Amino acid sequence: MSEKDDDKKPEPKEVRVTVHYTMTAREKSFEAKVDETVRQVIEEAYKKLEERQRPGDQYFCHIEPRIDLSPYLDRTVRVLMSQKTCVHEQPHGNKLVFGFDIDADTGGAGK
Amino acid sequence: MTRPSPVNPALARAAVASFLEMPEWRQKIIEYGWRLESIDDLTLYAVLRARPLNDRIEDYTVRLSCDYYPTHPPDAKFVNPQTLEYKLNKDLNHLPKLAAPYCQVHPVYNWDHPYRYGPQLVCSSMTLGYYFSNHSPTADQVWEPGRHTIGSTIHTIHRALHSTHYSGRYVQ
Repeated sequence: MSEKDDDKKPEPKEVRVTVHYTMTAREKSFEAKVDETVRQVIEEAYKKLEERQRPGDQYFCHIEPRIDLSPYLDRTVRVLMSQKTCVHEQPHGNKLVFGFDIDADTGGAGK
Repeated sequence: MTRPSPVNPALARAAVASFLEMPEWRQKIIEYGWRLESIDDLTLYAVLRARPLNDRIEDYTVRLSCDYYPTHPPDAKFVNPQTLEYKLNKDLNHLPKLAAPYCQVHPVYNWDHPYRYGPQLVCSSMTLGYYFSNHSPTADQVWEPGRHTIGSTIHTIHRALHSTHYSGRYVQ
């Protein structure tokens, strides 16, 4: 497909989300609308994982470099796509995927 | 907080064996590139790669002692990869400088109580030494048997090694 054809591709309405709960190695996948905010996607991810949000939870892109998603929580998935952050096209396909990690807090220095 | 007690060795051995068979962690071990080997039924070591700093790639070896597992986390300490031990005045250069709020390395910790795996402390609620030192995890941070596994311990260290809280290797 030429670059010109790429320009003509209809903008996807959905992304395939894969969430990784790093403390337990559990993963879940689901579809989300590109107009949903990252916060909404994260809330859905907790439901799919059957986990609850805990104080100190942090969110990062799954792929390296693990970009911190906290500045994007109230942005839409579309904004992540436009900034090429976390969201990418599946190889050999036209499906968009959004992979992120939930890192639960652990006690450490001084706690 | 009550001081931990060792687990019946047969139960601890079964718990370690069970962890090594968990498909979700087997997949993560491959994905993260951890090299995980057994020294004996209750002792493992993991070779973990840190994020590159100034184009230098460094690997570190963590020894995991599981005689309090799964009731409590494994003891975790960085060791000399040749000897799989940590000798205070010889092996400092095998330790990473980690100062994450959730995982910090103390080459020599000031223990209030005798601790068989000291003097080093990898300070996190996912390591046994944390429960032998004066720390107070919140209910959400405390080790939960069944929910947390040896993988949780290794991942916490891996996470710190890949964060901006990692600043290279100690110099002897």
